[in-house]
Amino acid sequence: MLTTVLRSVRVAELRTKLLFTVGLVLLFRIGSQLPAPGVSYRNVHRCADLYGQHGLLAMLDLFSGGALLQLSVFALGVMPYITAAIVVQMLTPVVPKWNALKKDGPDGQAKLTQYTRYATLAFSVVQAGAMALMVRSTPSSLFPACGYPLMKQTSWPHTLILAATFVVGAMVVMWIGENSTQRGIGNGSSLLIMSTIAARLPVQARTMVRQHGLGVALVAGGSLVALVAVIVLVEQAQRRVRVTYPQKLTGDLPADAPGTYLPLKINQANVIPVIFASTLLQVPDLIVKFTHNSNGALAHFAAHYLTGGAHPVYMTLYTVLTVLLTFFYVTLTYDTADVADEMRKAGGFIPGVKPGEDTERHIDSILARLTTAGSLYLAVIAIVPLVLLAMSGGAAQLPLGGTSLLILVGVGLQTVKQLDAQLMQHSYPDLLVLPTPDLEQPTTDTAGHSVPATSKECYA
Amino acid sequence: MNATEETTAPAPSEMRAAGAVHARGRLTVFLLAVIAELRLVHWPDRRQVAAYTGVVAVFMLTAIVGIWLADAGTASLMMHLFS
Repeated sequence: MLTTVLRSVRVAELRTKLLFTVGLVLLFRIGSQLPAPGVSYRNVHRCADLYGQHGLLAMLDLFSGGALLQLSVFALGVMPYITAAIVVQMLTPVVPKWNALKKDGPDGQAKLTQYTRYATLAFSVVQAGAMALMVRSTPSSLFPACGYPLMKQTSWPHTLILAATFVVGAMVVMWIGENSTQRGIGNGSSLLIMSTIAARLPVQARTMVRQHGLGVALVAGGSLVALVAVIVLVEQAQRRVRVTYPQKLTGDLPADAPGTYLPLKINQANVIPVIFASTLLQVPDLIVKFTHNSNGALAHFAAHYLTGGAHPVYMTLYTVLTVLLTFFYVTLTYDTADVADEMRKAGGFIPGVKPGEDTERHIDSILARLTTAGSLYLAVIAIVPLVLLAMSGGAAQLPLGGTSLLILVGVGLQTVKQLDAQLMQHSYPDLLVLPTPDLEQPTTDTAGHSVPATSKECYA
Repeated sequence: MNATEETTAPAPSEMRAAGAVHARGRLTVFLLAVIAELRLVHWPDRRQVAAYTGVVAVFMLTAIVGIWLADAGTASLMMHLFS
């Protein structure tokens, strides 16, 4: 697999795609640190250092590429785009018109993409407005304990310019994500989030070494590699439901029946339920902060059980929510009726199962069992870092723990697989050429491939 | 089961009828069905897991070092320009 990456660098087209992706990620990192107009760079850094990162703010900061707490031009980051994409994805099976568009091929998909962009703009406007208002006051709601003014001038025109900058920044991030997906390697938005997580790891590793010593850090590193292996194992596993299509006649002889299979992953929902679960657990704390009611039962509950992440109550709630949300998300996004219907239309069937409703019930039952295992796996991956955190005294942790790890491994796997697939496509012309014993010294084609001289004649 | 039929984990009702489990409640039966289903999953072998883990580790390390260097450069430039 490692040779895949090395070989892809030698292919001109793939090299261009790789460089394009790297360039866009760099652009995202620069924009994440470029301060928005009117923001006091020095004061923002003072407040960020004083306040640190906790709860929902830390998570929003993660999805903004670390830009939120720096009030940079990309302060909203990729969050509005991801939220919009999830909302559109979840509403598509529910809204009949959108469902029809989804089945309408590339044109329908393009329309849905356009709706996602409109929704991104709407989410950005709301978030940018709220952010600008939070930043305007001193002390700001963003850093309640910090008395430094975050804006140089707090007039309404300056606040509006700040909000507009955040909106435009979110749109540029969306453009980066989309272009990286279309013209680069891997999924753009995932790569941007991955870059944020990767940016924090060196600092956190250093903190861990300082606080717990090199021995503990090495053990944590070893556990991390073991967790990565577990994630790879589960993410690569597939339940292959055999599907048979009718035989076709080729001349007088029937061709082999094209047997294929319906691949079902154990974790169909990926990382979304874990993100939702951790977001939901931050909601009580958020309500308390907005209502300024720090003496109520909710405030007491949030302060004692839901902050820090190392309390058994938090872990239990996190596990339960992850399991429930996994079922919810898979049910909403994987339409078994649609899969059964498509299979029936194509003349396919699962051996031993009647096409139509029986097939739907059969896939449903397999999916329910797999999702049970998948949801427990997600919960374990999310909880293990929290348990380690509790055991280590709660001082050092990965940003978002298991969620970050799932994103990192998922993005790594997806990117390398895509690279591998594109390299395979590129290698087809070579595969068509039969090797001959009197081959001359290999030369290089326009794409940078090593091509024997005889194969050039074949191309001609 | 017919050789051409899709391999399927037994349904909870079949398991109960077959006496595979005694009356231990629906949850136990369902969990046993989950385990039976997991036995039908195609798992990657040890070599594949090691290869993919290695690739992901190298990918992560490259990304971490590359982004850390880029961030450090950008941060010092921003500090110089705006502080």
